[in-house]
Amino acid sequence: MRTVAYLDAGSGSVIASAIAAGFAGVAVVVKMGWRRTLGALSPKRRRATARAAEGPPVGDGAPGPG
Amino acid sequence: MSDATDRPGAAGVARPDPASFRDPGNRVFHHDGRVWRALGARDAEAYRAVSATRFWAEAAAAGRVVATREASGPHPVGLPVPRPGPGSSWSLVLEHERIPYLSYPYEWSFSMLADAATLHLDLLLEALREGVTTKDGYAYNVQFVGSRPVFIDVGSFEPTTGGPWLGYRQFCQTFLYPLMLEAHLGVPFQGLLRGRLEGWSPTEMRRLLRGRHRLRRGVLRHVVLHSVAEQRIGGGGEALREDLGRSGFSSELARATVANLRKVVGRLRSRRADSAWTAYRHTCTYSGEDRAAKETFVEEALASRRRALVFDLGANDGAYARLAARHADWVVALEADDVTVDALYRSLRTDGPANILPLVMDLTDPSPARGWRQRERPGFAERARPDLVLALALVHHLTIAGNVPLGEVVDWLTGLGDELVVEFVGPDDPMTERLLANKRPGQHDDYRPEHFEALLARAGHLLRRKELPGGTRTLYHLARRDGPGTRDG
Repeated sequence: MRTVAYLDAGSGSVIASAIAAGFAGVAVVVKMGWRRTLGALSPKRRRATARAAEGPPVGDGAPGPG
Repeated sequence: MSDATDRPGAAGVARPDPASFRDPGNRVFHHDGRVWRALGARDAEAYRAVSATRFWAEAAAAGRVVATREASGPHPVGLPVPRPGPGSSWSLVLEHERIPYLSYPYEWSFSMLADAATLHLDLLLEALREGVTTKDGYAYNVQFVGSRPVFIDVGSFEPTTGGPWLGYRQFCQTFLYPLMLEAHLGVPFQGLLRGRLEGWSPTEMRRLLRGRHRLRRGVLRHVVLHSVAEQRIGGGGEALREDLGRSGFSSELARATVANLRKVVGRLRSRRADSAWTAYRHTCTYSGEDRAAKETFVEEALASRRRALVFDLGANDGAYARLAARHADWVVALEADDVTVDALYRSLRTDGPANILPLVMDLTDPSPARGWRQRERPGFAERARPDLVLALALVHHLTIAGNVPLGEVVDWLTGLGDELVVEFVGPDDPMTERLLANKRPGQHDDYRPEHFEALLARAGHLLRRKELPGGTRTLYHLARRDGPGTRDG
């Protein structure tokens, strides 16, 4: 089951909470940061970002009015 | 005892609890003196998963979470239970044990808040071991049943999906920082927490804890780093939390955060161990004869019949609250001095009796209604009506030290409950003389026993009166004119 929060923990507090777990927590934060950086730099990700900026694709199979 | 939460809503419809609305997945209702929690489909599924765990069974058996049972069907009270939002209905209804008297963190002493925080963290540590977490870390998730902390927000538990604990910031703001304020700075937290139900932000706490205080236990990690992270990283936390989960932040790491908080809370100690009131019993001027006569009078008033709820106003070390606890289901012992309340709580926690709830309350400025629409946290007198009120060696403090007119004091005391046992400490008593010494001559000329008795006679029906052997103090047992005490008095 996916957790759906009614409370926004805030990004800063989420990172602080992770760091409060100790060295292993810091390692996961660094790993996530690295993954995010790599993701942002990958050509596939850049193309997806550019497509999203241009607007929704037409004729993508989404249900239409008729 | 009647309860503010029992006031009916629309005729025949269970009344939503005014403090239960922030989490849309479940909601608490009151009906006919009973407490119900209705859950939507997702929360019902979560509850069934959580209630099947070993941690839950053990916590429930030990009374660490509020006693809860599944009601049969979604409308167990046979009445339409309202749910906001179109086209939706509740999937499951639970019934909870009723809390005898609601109290709030800004009325607890240091040790009470520390014990409530410890309970929250211990439950979470046990829960995380079995893949369960809590949605929040709010101090209002805990109530006291007598001197025992109990976790009441059953809807807060849900299966975890990994990532850091969502309730971390809320826990810091409403549990950890108030405790740090007293432990590290020696400042009582109650008044400040009463003014700000959500507590202080990490950045506000960082501004308070400067210099060498930064080296104190837990400050660098949970205040300074927390504040820096909060200021540098903006945006919503849920996406980041999920991303951390995907990067390998497991329940074990969430446990490590909670375990660290547990360690910090466990080592915090109040810096304020003594006050003028903690030694009051030893410094006040009662003779042994007066004390014995007073105890006999109070005990006879209490023993006349069993009461559901007794208030002891100005309880000090709780000697009379203990007396009341023998003859009542529940006693709420109210005292303005938080250090004295803390000593009483620690003594009750160790030696009992378990049916006394000690609270920090300045009676000249009792807790007001707080929160959304001023209904979320009811004021002191709105929560329940006691069957009997003890006001022993209190009136002279309210009138002379507090400058509240005597008529106002009598009106308030007699309106608070069904019966009143009150002591009038005369103007010639050494304790009153001490209070009058710094007052303008003539300022309290109406502070006389005959005036006090005339005010009492107008307010209620006098059942008994006794002057103590010392000759300066008199006790009265009064009942509301139409109250239950008038029938057996």
